Amino acid sequence: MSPGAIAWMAIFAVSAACFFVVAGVVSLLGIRDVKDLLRRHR
Amino acid sequence: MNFTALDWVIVIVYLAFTIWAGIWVRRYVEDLGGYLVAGRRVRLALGVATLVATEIGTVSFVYLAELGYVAGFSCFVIGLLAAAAYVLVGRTGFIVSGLREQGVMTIPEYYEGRYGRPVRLLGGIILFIGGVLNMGIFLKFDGIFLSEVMGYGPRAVAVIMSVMMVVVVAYTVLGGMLSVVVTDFLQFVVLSFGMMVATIAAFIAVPPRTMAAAVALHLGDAGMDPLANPRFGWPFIVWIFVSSVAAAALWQPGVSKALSSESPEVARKVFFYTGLTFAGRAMIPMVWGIAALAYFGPGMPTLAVMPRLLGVIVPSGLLGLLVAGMLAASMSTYSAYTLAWSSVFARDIVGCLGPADRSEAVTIRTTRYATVGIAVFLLTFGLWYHVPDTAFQYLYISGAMYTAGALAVVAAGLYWPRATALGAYAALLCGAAAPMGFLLLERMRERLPSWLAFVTDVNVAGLLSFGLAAAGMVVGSLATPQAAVRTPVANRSGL
Repeated sequence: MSPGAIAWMAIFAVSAACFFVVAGVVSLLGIRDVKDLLRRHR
Repeated sequence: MNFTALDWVIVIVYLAFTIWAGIWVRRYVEDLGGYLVAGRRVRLALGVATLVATEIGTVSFVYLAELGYVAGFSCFVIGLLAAAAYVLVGRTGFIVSGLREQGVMTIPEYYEGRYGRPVRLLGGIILFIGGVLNMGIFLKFDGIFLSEVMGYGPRAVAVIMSVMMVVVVAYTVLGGMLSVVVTDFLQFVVLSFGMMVATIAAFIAVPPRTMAAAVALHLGDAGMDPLANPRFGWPFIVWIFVSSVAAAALWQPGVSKALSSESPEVARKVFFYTGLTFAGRAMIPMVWGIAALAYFGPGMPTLAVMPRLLGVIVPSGLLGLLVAGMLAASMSTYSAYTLAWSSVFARDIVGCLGPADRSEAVTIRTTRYATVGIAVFLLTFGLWYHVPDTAFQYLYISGAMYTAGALAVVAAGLYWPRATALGAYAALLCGAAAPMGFLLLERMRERLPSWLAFVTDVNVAGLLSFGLAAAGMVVGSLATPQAAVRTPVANRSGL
């Protein structure tokens, strides 16, 4: 692979990791927020 | 046929659960604030989930993968620009904190407090037209994606489009923003899983080394360097960054999520954490497009090639999960967009033309009718419209029709006390002129005089719209006598 391709792949790896980490955390914490939202609308 | 009975069961169970959840939540809607901004009770994690889900649709997978297929790694710069824009808005609170503090439900509502009711009406009309046109191609792209992945081909596009729209309209009309937020969360979880499945499958079928070799072979330097690619270059980079900042801060479907947050501070954080996902949100489907280039080679239909790849490489069972994830992405986008544009229609267009003492029940009813009307328009428009240039550029140029003027009007309104209604009119009209000119004149490109040909360059037209809008705001405001300048108003809603 050329240095350019390696650099773009590294940027992709970091970006994809950020996406899936935030997605995982938000999926776990979001359940609490949904419950809270519905409780406060009751 | 790629789709097996097991895949169908997964998709049907998922769809049934989403519809049930969306409709079940309607019982919690108590008033207009509950219907349009979920009572402004959305916390951080839920806010991030719903904003990310709104900004990821199957249409975005298709157009971003198309870019990966035709431009290789060089299009990754778009993901970096979008991430930088959202993180900038999230760190500074640029515009979104100010709008949340004002307590408005739609952006044109802010125009009325700052510039007067006629500006709100004009801004509402431009926002509505730009927004609905922007959304016009979503259904078609989603239909292409799903019919290719499932193996049914183009003949199934219209049927898939219609079923998806009916499902989304059902729960959006009934439950408003509360249904949108709750279903967005479910959809966010499912679409994230679907994205992971597709990415792993793409890397198993096409290793990184093969992707890099295909880009070098078929695209050369243009596939590695965005400045060497004739599709991009500096005008494109500047336009997309400015446009991404404007879209982050002012695109009604996204901003309505900030306006639903429980405080301006939460609104700012929602944008910051969403920004952290935005490079990945763009690059993940771009990699699918690059994998399709390596797998099939060049010369395939650019929009259909990525879904065709996924239909081939993702095994049965997982394909059902992938399609459920893509349906989730689409439905969360449709629901947020149709609600955003119908609320602008009801509050900022019909509301400005009718009596001031209109009841909340009438506004909610008008919003529901508008949602159905938009859905019917999308079904008909999406079937016959042919997208000029790449889909990505169509979406940004149609969005610029509104965002260019809105950026000048809202930013000046919040941060420049000298801004006036005349400046706002000039900014809104000048900002819409260049994109509108592109969309109309691009169809008669061959017959245009040479001095007007620059308008048919999508990058120039897009960048021009922001320059013209800013110039319109400055010139119009300075041309207004100082005595006519309105004093900005504080939050009137108390929410």
